[in-house]
Amino acid sequence: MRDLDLPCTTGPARGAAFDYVLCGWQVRSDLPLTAVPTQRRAGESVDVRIEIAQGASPMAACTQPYVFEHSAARSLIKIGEVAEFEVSEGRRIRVWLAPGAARKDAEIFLLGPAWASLCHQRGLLPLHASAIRTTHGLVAFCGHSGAGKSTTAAVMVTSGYELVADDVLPISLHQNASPGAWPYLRRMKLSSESIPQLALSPVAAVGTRLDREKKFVRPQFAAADEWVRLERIYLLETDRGTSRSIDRLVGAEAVRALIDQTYHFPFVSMSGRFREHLEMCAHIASRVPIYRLPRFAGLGTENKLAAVIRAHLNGELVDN
Amino acid sequence: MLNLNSIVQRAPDVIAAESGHDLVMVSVINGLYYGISDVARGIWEAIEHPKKVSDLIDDLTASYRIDRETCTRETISFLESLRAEELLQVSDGPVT
Repeated sequence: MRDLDLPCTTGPARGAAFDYVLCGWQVRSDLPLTAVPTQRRAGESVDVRIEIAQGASPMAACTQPYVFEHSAARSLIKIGEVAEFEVSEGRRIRVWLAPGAARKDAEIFLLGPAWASLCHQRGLLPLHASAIRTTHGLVAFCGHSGAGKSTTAAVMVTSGYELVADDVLPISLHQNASPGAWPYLRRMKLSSESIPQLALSPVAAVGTRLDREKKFVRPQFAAADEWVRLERIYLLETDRGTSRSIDRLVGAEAVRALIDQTYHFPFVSMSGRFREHLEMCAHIASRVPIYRLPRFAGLGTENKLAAVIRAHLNGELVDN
Repeated sequence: MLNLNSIVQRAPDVIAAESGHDLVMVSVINGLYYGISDVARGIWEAIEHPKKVSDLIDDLTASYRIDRETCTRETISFLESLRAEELLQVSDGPVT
């Protein structure tokens, strides 16, 4: 079967900018975003501008293939043979495409580390997580690459929950200091082999030269554009032996989990924003329960995993 | 090697935040995060300002049911681990 490789966006003609709503912000992008619907809120000014830049980038003289430089207000990211990014003041991302690079490959890093840097600049905590919305609030699935964040979220979405974000979940604080999030990318990035197992259909390849084994899938249910309180976090673990218990993390262990799951942590270390980051992680850990969820071999089908999570969400499983 | 006359104090480039009964700290120097609880947290809070190790042990033995020899051994061991992580300043001079 031939992969579909469409921009999957409707919007202005080539050369014009595309409007989106991401993390509650009105975003105008020169780069079309794959499988993200264009959206323009009436009367709202642009909060974030994504520009295809011309001329030399600030990293043009650098011969290293990869560059990550962060200060509190400016980030420079270079991904050799793909693109260079300058993220400024939490409001603007400039993109220099490498000669011959595919826009879709640049999009992977634009919506990953570059967007995470923008969130860090704005004081949000981008978590390496996918998230769904339940009647009680957001439920996030954290974990390192390959832990099954997207697959777990996809399974829950196929059973009726709404997708809030996939792979990156920027956490913000409400006026009453409650942690929560606006929806980010409501599309799922799944491996080619898991898509038919979940009876889903791909809409586009993730990358042209990169991430070719993964495809974008549109969720059956996507969360509306509103901020929702974070109800709980599951930390997906694949290396806990035969343990089947869902353990709640408390104290320093819970904070540590959030630190470990911070998306693009180099921003924190290079910009020196340790205090803000630590205080944010400690605040979230004090307000939101965090559970270790084993994804051990032998659990069986993904539907069984969904059943376990649903039972835990409904209080039918006792915490350890 | 630390001894009872050593004067100890938290390193200045350490940021800490409370999480329940625990304390989570990050060293700005090496970017590493640490978590401590219980008596270790009490020791950390007690060395906000310069403190002689013997005075620290006096306070601990007065607060906890522990013999002085064990308290001395374990306290110095903990302080050495803090120093190894550059979380502790040590001097041999008088407390000012």
